Amino acid sequence: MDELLHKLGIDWRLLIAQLVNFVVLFLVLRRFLYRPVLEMLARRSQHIADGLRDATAASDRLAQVEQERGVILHRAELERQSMLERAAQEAETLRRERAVAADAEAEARIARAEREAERVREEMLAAVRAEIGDLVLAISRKATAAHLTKAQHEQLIHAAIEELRGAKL
Amino acid sequence: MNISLAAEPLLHVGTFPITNTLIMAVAVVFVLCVIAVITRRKLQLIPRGIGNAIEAVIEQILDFMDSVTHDRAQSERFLPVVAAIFLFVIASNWIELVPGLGTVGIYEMHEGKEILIPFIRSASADLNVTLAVALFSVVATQVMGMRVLGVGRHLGKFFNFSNPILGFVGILELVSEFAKVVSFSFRLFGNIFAGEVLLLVVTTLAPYVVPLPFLFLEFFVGFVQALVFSMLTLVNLQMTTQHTEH
Repeated sequence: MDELLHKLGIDWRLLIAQLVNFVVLFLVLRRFLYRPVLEMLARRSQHIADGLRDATAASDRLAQVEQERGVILHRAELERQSMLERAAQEAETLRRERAVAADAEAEARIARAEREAERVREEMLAAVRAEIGDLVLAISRKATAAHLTKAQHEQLIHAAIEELRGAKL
Repeated sequence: MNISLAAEPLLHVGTFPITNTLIMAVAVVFVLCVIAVITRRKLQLIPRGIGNAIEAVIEQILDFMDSVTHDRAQSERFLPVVAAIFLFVIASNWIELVPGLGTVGIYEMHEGKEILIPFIRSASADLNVTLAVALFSVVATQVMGMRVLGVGRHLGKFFNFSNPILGFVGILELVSEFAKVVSFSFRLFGNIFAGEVLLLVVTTLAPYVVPLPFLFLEFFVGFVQALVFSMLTLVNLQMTTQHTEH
């Protein structure tokens, strides 16, 4: 047996040395290679899973935001149209009110002007009448001073005044 | 041409022989350890460079293991044992293919003839190495079985006194564990040693071009033997810890 082992080259000291050698390799690889690599693979898998989940969430959120944006834009468009219509209506109402007010103001001014003109005419007429009366009186006095009594004077004056009143100037 | 089953001692420390395969095995372990340490420093969330390459190797091994275990958690639990065996064996097998390594050595007088003892010899071409790895494989399988099933339940598979049939099956199981050590170690040793001899003979007979196909063949054999060793270990691990599933 010993001879067979010797011929095969089996030496228990070398066997133990090789065993120790391999155990050292096993321990070093387990400590410095497998564990860190497996941890890194697990970390990377987790990162990828997180990234995919975040990407899906972001995509969903984007779609939701796009939808909300569409709704908001639609609402804003409706509001804009409504505001435009309301503004147009208000402008029309305002324009009409202004026009009515302007018409009323114009009419009031015309009426005021007419009244003023009438008043001035009346005052002028009164002044003219008084002047003419005085003139007629003076002329009549001079012309009839010698022939007419006082009563006849007054009658003539009244007749002239009445005639003037009836005349249109 | 010198063909020796046993690894050749290059020097002695006291009575302890320092063989060329021991130097080779230490060198392989050292290089793998250095790669492991460098890889750990280079690991990044965004994979790059050597970290990326080693990660790819580990993931490939894990994917391959998944085809046996069908369970990623189980594969990750067995990874240290299986991958250590695979990486060590494949590195040891392939190192013999580096041209010229077998020609560097010292000349010694042996039985009246001067022979070249190369510094480099594939570690797998030494029964001490394959036996050590096989022992590690079987012991690691038993330890894993005890951890998963519990010591009592695991040992109960070998020492079952409930009835004679189960007792006999237990003894067979125990013998098979020792047989595994022998079969693992001799299979790997036989293949790699045969490959070395084949390359040596072919290179001696026709040194140019002709050895090339044989180098490729040994390249393939080295990979297959590493795969067989590690996969058989994985299957043993799977079978030993299987009862937890039922």
